Amino acid sequence: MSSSRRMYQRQIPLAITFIVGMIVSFDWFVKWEPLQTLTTTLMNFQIVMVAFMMGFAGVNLVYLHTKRIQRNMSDNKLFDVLLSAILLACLFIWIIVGVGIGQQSDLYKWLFNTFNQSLSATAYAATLFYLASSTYRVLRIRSAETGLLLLVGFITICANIPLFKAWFPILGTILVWISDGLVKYSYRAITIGVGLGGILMGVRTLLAMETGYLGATEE
Amino acid sequence: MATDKHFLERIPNGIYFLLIIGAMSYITLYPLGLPIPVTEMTRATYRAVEALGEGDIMLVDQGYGAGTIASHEPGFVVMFKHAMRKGVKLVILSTSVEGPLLLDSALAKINPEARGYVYGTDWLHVGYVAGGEPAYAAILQDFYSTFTVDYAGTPLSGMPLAHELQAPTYEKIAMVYVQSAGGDVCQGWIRQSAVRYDIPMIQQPLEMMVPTILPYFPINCQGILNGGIGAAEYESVSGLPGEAVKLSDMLSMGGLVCLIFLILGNIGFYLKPKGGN
Repeated sequence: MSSSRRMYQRQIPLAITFIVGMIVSFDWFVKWEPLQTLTTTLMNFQIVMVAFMMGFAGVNLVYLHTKRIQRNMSDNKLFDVLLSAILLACLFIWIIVGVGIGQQSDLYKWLFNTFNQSLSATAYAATLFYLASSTYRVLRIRSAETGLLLLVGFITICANIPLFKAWFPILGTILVWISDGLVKYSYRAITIGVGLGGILMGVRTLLAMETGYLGATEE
Repeated sequence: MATDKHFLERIPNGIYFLLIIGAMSYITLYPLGLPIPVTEMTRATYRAVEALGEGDIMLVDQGYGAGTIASHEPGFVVMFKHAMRKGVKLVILSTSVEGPLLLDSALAKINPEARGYVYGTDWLHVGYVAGGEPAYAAILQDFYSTFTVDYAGTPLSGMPLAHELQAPTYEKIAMVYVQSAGGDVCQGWIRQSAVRYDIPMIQQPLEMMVPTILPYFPINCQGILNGGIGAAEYESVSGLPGEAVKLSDMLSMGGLVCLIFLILGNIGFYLKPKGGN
């Protein structure tokens, strides 16, 4: 890699990461108004960048599916063409209505309530049946360990069902014991471990020891 | 293909699903109206909101989508009503793209204007906010510079409540209430508001996400509403009955069918002829 290319692809991004990371980190510990203002500006910049990325993802989606339609047309895969066409049509309709007429318009709300909300709720509700089916078909007492797992699961399900809790108040006490005695403290240990790992990862990133986020770069 | 499974293990999915749908439909038509036992997590949530004073500001992340509306909307409605009863001001934003579009449905059940809650003065809706955890940090540092207009595009400069939230915003927020289906959102808010600024926080994650938030309760997260059941419990404890109570009965019947089938599957497993693989 030439030195100028190396500068653009590695050194400058690493320097930006270090400076921004240090500013934001210091802001956590030092209460100084100019630093807070600078951090807020950086955070706002990040919000704008995420919004831009979402727009970019939309453009990428159009590009990808246009190519796919062309390829599937030549391969005579008409059903795949139809699916991509529906996706692009929906994308354009939503953009045109949302940007042109506005998200507060009746048409946009109608589109959302009629299509998005119904389909989204249906898709989520359908997972209930998959979960119920898998619970019935997979959970078996095959050994002492699976027996214990099933017992805890059984008690947890019972205790989360208001009907059982009303009939057998002891279930609530057992659930509290499971939540407080087992789940909370084991999960807290995991969370602390993940947090320590995150700190280590952050320090490595700031010190340019972790450069995976830059993508593949030639050495 | 021949199978060595007992018939109790082979009940077709169609029958199973129909029984679930039937049980849930029946209980919707003929509710049992059972008392709802209130957990300590919900009582703690109620106490945290009760501790707020008139004029305090609650920041609400209405971060749910259409998929989880049945669990989250009752929680939003009952919390809004409780806040109104206490005279607490509400600033609503959404970390879910769908959230702002679902607000109309919830507001129709609350009707804040009819109860004397004035938009811009007592409550505010700024819509979707992108950016994840850094966005939460920016909002808590300076809400007024992060948002310039509300969800409808009206400039915030004309709204008294927005002026109250000028930097440093974290000093003016009395409580953060987060509703989300994502553990990263819930934990992100805890890190940025409860850990950093010691702002009291209550959360309503989905039932399956509660173990993720439990380690923070009650130190960083003063209250947790356990999904739809938590909302039902909150309606019960706050004396503001709503839709979650009906949901509670439905969950009971759906869960009952699942449990019966779980037992049947295991009985079948032990009754089947042993041997082979």
